[in-house]
Formats: sequence, structure tokens, C-alpha cells
Amino acid sequence: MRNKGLRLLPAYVPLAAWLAFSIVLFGWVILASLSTTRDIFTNSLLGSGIQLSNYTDLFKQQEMGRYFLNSIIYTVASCAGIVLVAAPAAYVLGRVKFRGSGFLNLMFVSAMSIPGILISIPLFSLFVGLKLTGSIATLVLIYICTNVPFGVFFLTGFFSSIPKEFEESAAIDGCGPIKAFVKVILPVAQPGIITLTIFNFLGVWNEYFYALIFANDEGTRTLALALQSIVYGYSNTGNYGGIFAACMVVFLPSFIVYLFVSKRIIAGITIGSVKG
Amino acid sequence: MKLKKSVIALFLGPAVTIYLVIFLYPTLRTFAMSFYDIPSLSSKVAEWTFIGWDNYATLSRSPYFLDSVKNVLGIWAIGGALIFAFAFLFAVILTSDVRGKGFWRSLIFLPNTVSAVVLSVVWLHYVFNSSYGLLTTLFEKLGLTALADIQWTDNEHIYYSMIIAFSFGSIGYFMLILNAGIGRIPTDYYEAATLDGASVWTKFFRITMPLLRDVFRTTLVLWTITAFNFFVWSATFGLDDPNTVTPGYYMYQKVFGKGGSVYLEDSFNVGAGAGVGILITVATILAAVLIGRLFPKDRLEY
Repeated sequence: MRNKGLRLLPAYVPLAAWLAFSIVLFGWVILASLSTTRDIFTNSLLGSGIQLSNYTDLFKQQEMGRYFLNSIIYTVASCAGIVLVAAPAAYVLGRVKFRGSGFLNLMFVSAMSIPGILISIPLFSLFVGLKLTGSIATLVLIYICTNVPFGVFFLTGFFSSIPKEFEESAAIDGCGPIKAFVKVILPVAQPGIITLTIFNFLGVWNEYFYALIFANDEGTRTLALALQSIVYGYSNTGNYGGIFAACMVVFLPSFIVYLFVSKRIIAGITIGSVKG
Repeated sequence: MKLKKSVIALFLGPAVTIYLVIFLYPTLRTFAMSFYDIPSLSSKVAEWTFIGWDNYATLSRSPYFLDSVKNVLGIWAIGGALIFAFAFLFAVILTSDVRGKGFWRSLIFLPNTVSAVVLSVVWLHYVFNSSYGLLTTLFEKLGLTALADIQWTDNEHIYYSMIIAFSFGSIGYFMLILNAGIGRIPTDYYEAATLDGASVWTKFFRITMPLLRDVFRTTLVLWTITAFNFFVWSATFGLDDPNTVTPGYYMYQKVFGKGGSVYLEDSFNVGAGAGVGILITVATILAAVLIGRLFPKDRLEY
């Protein structure tokens, strides 16, 4: 045993280094977010006591609350919309035999590798043409649409692994296909839908590119974009405590979610990689 | 199972419509746009003027665009080397007998779940800060004044600083995929090799690497797609510094740029911007084909 522990020692060194670096980053930013700018620059974090005003000022003076709400709306509406569109499609592709299903599968997989940069120009003119820019709904629509291919791809695997007896018994009970899907299949596929939604939550919460193009004004801005403009303003006025407090406000929600669901995320990525 | 055609259409309709309107149509339209002179983003097709390959010729003469290509190839090579070195290191460590694998996996993947804006700000204003920053403080304590004096975010260093900070946030994802791949290699091979007295390195290069070829090819293609479309960090970390501009960000500046950028002399041009999008896509496809040739599908079964 002792021999084994010694042999593994070199393996722990990089892990410990990564842990130490993470703790330093995380710990320092938390302390700095509660310190005055002077304390930060003199390397004496919290030297003048805990400055909760770094946080309260963000909500009082920078309307962080509004951007926070915006990001929650974007995230919740998009996550719901993606499942609403992707789940029925994935159900048909994963369970029903019909001509062209292979082609449709391929179509959604190929869409996943189309970069946002390539489609952004026509999308922007399309939305301008439809007079759909400048509202919260625009970016929600964009997030739903651009995440549907991955959603279909991810859920198809889950649906195809459900035993077909489920629909058969539903049919015996007199359920039509739509009712069987909603009442019988969706509940069974719940783990897959939850994992997909966790991925979408993190993706949408942190999304940057489409937000920059489609929601970069006062009313529609996401939290991440607001953070960038707050940091820009604060670094000009020299409010460094505020900069780190703003970072914490954006970081904490996704971190708390991650604390609870990291196992599912990691399992999801691992399963995907084995299939791919 | 069988379903009526009408039900199939109902279930698939929205997703297929989205594919056609949001993916297929814009791809084709971007391709067409790259051959036209287009006065503004919202111009109707009637206002476009066909100019053949002129947009591509303009790009090939633009020093800004050529620099952005150089930048992105550097990101692909340097960032790729960094990410794969660390991803492999942790992937191998986490298939050994270390304790708490679940915790370590979650910890190393954590930066991948943090917003790029937050990561950029923390690296820019803490790690790389030249008065109270982590690196400066650390090097001063160690008495390495030459290293402590480096201005990590000035014109000269920002490109490399960006690659380091970006790589830190990307290692976890590649580590997980490689880790899963290594986990599927039967342990008998390693046990037999250990009995024959093989070292850790021999085992890695003679067993892990050859048997991991398929997974490695997939991750390399994934990395190439990510790198060639590098955009976010040029905006959040580079903050318009020309040294950090990639083709993706160059396209954004050309098409959506709101003035005051580094490209004042290199004017607004929607057609050329579309051309950049097409070039990125073509380059990605070519690279994927090339990678497929270099690492052909493995016929080994295990």
C-alpha cells in the first residue's frame, strides 16, 4: 500500500497545482470583490473592512438587476423552447421507421458544425427585414433555433434506447400517438431532457457572439455583455472592487448550478464522446 | 414503430423548418454574398452588384486579414499544444488509481462552465495585472524581477497571454473526452506491459496513443473547428487589440463593427465579410479532411 501511494505521488502533483491555482483565483476574486480599490492595489485585501457596497452599487447604479433578469428570461425561455422543438423531432427520428430518416439525422448532425460566423450575416438581415431586432424575443428565437440541431442529436439517442413496450401499452390503453408521446415517453426520457437542459442553460447563460450582434443595447443586453461594459466603465473610473463584484454576480449562478449537476454534465460529455 | 405521415410531419416540422431557415438558407446566402458588392447589411438583392472573386482578391491584399490568419494559425498551434499537453496529462492521471476522480474531473472542467467575459476579466485584471497581479506578486516573492516586470497585457505580450488564459478555460473539455477514450482501453494491456517492465512513458506512447487514435482524431477535429472560429476571446480579452484579431473577429469588425475600431482604413464591406465566413468554413473542412488522412480510421478492435 505504502509503495503504491508513493508511486502515485507524481500523479497528485499536477492535480494539487490545479487545485491551488483554482483556489487562489476564486479566493482572491471573492476577497477583492469585497475590498476597496486602494486595498486591492496595496495588496491588503479587506484591509478597510468588508465593502458590500461593491455589490449593492451594481444593482443601484448599474441596473445589474435588469440585466440579471434579462439573462434569466433568455435562459429559461430558450431552454424550454429548445426542448419543445427538439424533443418531438428526436422522438420521431429515434423511434419511427420511415424513408428519409437517415438523411434527416445527417442533416441535423451537419448543422451542428455550421459556425455562427457563417450564418450570422444573413440571419441579421433576415431579422432586420422582419423588423424583429431590438427585443428580448429576438435573441430567444436565435438561441432556440441555433441549439435545436444539438438538441435533436442528443435526444435521438435517448429516445431510441426506450423499450417499445411503452408505446404498445399506451396504445392498448387507447392513447393516440401525441398523447402517448406526452404522457408516456416524455416522462421516461426525463433524464436525457434534464441533461440537455443543463447543457443549454450553461451555453445560453454564457453565450457571447449572438448576444453581441442581436442584443447589445440598454434594454436587451445580457448579463455577460453588461459585465463587459461595466468593467470598461469601472476600469476608467478606477473602481476595481466593483469590477470583481460584477464578475462574481455573473459567475455565481452558473457555479451554483454546476455544483449540483457537474456529474450529469461530465456523464453527458463522456457518453457523447463515446458515440461520436 | 410506425406513425402516420401527418404525425411525423407535425413532430418534425418545426425542427426541419429551423434547419432550412436558420442553417441552410443563410449558408447559401453567405456563399452568394461573397461574390457581390453589397452597400449595407440590410440591402435587398436588387441592390447587390456581382463582382466575381473581387472580395476574395481584396481580402488576399488586406494586411489586416492576412495578420488575422497568422494569428489564428498561431492560436491553433500554440493553444492546441498547450491544451492537448494538459488534457492528456490529466486524462492519464485520472485513469490511474488516484483517489477522488469525480472531484478532480469536476474541478478541471469547472473553467469550461465560466463565462468567457468573467474568465477574461479575472485573467486581465488579476493574474496578468502588473501592479498587484498574481504573476507579478509571485515572481517578486521569488526574487525573479525580470519576470515580475513583464507587462503581460501590452501589445507585445497580449497575444500569448490570451492564448494561455483561453487554454486554461478549454483544457477540461478535451480532458474529459480523452479520459473517456483511455478508460475504454482494456487494462490487460497495461498489466502485461507492467509485468514486462515498461515505463509510464513507454506505456503511454506504445499503448495509449496507438489505441487512442480514433478519439484523438475526433478531438483534433473538434479543436480545429473551435480554433478556426476563434472569436469571443478576441473581443473579451483582446479588446480590439490588432494582435489578437482572428478572421472571425475581423469579419465581425467588417460587417457589424460600429466604428472607432482598429480598422478605420479597412472599411466596412459586407461582401468581403461573407467571404471571410466562407474561407473559414472551407479551411475547416480541408483541415478535417487532412486530419482524417493523417490519422486514418483504426481497424483495430479491442
